[in-house]
This record gives sequence, structure tokens and C-alpha cells, in this order.
Amino acid sequence: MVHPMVIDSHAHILNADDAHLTAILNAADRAGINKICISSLSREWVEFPSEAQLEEAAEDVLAAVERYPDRFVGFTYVSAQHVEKSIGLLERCNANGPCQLVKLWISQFLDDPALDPILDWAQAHDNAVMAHTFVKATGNMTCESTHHHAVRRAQRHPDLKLWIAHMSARWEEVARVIKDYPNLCVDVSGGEPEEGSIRCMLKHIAPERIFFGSDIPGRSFIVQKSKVHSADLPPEQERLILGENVRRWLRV
Amino acid sequence: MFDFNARLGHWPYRPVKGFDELLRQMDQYGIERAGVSSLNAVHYLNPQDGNDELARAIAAHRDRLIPFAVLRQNFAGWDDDLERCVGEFGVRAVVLYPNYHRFGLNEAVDELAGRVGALGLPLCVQVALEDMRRQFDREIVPDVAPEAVGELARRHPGVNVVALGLKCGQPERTGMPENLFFDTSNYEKMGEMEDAVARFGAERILFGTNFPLFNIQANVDKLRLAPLDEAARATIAQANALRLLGLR
Repeated sequence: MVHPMVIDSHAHILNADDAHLTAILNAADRAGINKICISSLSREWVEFPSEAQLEEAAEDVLAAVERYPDRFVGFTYVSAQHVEKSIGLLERCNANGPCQLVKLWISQFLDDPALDPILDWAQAHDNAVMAHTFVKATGNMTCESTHHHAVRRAQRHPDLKLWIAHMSARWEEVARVIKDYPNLCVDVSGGEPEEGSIRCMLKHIAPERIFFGSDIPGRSFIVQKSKVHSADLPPEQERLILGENVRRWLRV
Repeated sequence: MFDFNARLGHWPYRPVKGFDELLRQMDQYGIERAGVSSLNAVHYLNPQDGNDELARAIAAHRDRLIPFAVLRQNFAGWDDDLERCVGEFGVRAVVLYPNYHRFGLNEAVDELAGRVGALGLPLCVQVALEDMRRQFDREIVPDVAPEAVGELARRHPGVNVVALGLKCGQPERTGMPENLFFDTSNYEKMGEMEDAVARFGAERILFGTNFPLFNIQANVDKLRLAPLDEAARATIAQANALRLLGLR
């Protein structure tokens, strides 16, 4: 029997120390995860990273991917506040290096026109982009995007391969908002293992648009994977969500 | 396995699974028994209405579903409710929701804690039911401060206090007095179980699922797949719960 490939589309490394990386790989092995898409938000997570912090993040991801090329897929962390630096990193790490993905966090809204050159680059190089989105009842950060920002971005870049993280922390609503934008997908990473999230999204979008992700190390591979397993999906849908969907956007 | 943290009832903010699904999933995941309290009682003005409903709902399944009572010390007659819950329903633990029911874990709760302890029951404090960031914007219910749960346990060294829904990093904030325990339901990070056992010992940790708000499999797999020795796994899965509840 051939087991489907399980790919975690949303994980973080805190540094490139081998003890940290092997702890991640050991935990992934216990959870039955084959490949892990990793980003670094630099060694100090701040809302608005400096160029030096983008560089530090890129160095750590490059080191991890070069050490474990069969297990890690790299994101390059970029920011609209440092466009030239970001494109330079993408040229080095993605176009001419082993990384394949682009990571956006909270230093700009996703529909900020300042992002256009970075996302033009990603689209031209066929690199998929993962963007943090969240709707916090307690209040968002200064430039923290929601799924509504993502829709406006998809309208400007309809051919960009883009997925938004954490089900935008509003799984009851997110699929209703993104349903008309076929290149806009969603990962299930982070948050508590609330009952019913994936089945709720499937009322409005196809399973091909949902990616498994964990958000480790602050979360657990096992707990986050339970969101998919506990949804009692047909095996083919589970296979798509656990890895095949994001694999289509990778060179794996 | 014994699930120390399950509920039955409605949740105002989204549909949740109920009685039949709880029993089905207990069978599916090998959970023999569960401590169950009323989810309705979180939002009823008088939580005893929820305790009464729960007792009727599970009457035919008392071999598997062990009732826990929800009480609030700021609602008149809680002492009579406690007596009724123990005498008529056979409840084996009491659950408090200080932040949903708007009371502090200060001296005002000491009489209730003393009465519960005198009956030999554990006193559970639900620290969080759901992520504050995901709550309905109309009213945000904050988490109970872990420090307050630790202080409650220290003021009542003869009462076993169980903090339900603690997150990683929060047991440390309680100070973990010897009579304080916590459940697994919301305790999550990479490597959480082996870390928790190394820090606090398996004897202080109870398997709990937060059904029906969380999927049961999350905590079943969390314990099943953790790199623990089998003795520690069994202690967390069931032995601690049976000891605290006085069950075999």
C-alpha cells in the first residue's frame, strides 16, 4: 500500500541549530508528516522586521533546507517595507537557491500596493505565496491582514498562487469570502482544534483549496493534523488536504 | 481512558455535537468513561437548571458518564444545589466558570471550596473554554488568571483543585502546589506531553478533550503518540482521574 504524502504547509523554525531542526523532524516522524514547509520570522518576532532581520530569517531557512533537503521546503520571508531587499532575497534564495515559497506576515496589509513588485516577482517566477491573515475579536495588529485584504489582492493578481493562513481565524466565514477566487487557498494551521472547521469550509469551497498546516513549534503537528482526520472526509479529500494540494504548487 | 473534561449541551455561538456523538466517539477512540458537565450551565443564569437537565440526559448511561456539577458561588442556594447534586445525582466533581459567571477566585469562593473538599470531591476551575481571539465579538470572556487558581489551591491544601483548559506556560504561573492538577485539553505546542511530564510529573496531568468544542481526536492522538513510557501514559489516560474521583 502506498501512503499519501503528508506535507505541512505552515511551520516555523526559530533558528538553524541542529538540535532544533532534529526535534522538529522527530516530532514530524511521530505525526506521520513527510515534508515540512518552513519559514523563519527571524530570531526575534517583530511586527516590522528590519532588512537585517529578513536576512537573518533567510539565512536560517537556507541552512535548514540545505541540511535536510528531503524534508524541508523553504519560504523566504519578505516585507513591503523593504521591497528591494525582499526581491534580492527572492533572487538569491528562490530563483537561484533551494527555496520555493514566499512568506508574508504582518508588516503590511496584503492589498498594500507597495507589495506589487514583490508579488509581480512571485507570479512571474511561479512561486506560491503564503500570507498570514487573522480576524481577532480582541483586535488585530497594526497591519495584520484579514481574508478581505486577501480578496482584494486576488482581484489585483488573479494568477498569483496565494494561500492565506489560519483559516483567517474565522472558519465560519472565510470560505464564503474567498469562494469566487480560485487561486486563493487557505491553510488550517494554528488555533485550537475546534470541532467542525474543515467541514464548514467545504460547504463553500472545493477540497482542492484547503491545505493542512500546523504552525509548529508553538502548536503541535499531531493536534493540528487531527483537524483533518476528525473531519471524517472521504479518503481522496483527506489525501488532497494533507499534502497533494500544496504539492501541486511545489517542486516536490 | 477517562476523559476528565467533556460537556453536553448547546453552545450559543455555533452548532456542536451531542450525546449520541459523544458515546460514538468514546467507543471509536477507546474512552471507557468521561466526566461530563452541563454546557448549558455555562450560560444559564441558574446553573442548577443545567445540572438537572444533565442528570436526566445521562441517567441511562451512568456506567460510562460520570456527572460533574456546575456551581456558582454568587447565585443563591448553591449549597442546596451541591447537596442535591451529590445526594440525588451522584456527582463526583464540581466545575467553576469564574469568568463566565463573573466571580473572582478570592475569599468569596472559600466556603464553596471548603464544602466541596469536605465531601471529598475535586474542585475544577475552567480557565478557558475557547480562544479569546475567536470569541463572538459581542462579549469577550477572558481566561482565568492561572495565578488565581494556584492561590485557591494554596488556601485549600486539603482540596484537590483541577485547572481545566490550561495552555502551555500556564501551569508554571500557578506555582503548581501539590494539590493542583491540570488537563491536556488545551495544552499544546510541539512536544508538549513529554515536556509536561518532565516538568510536573505524570501524576499531575489528566486526559481531557474539551468535547464538544474541540475534536476528541486531538487529545487522544496527543497522548497516544507522545514519546512517554507506558506507565506515564496510563497514569494520564485514566489512573489520575480514577484516584481523584474515588472510582475504580
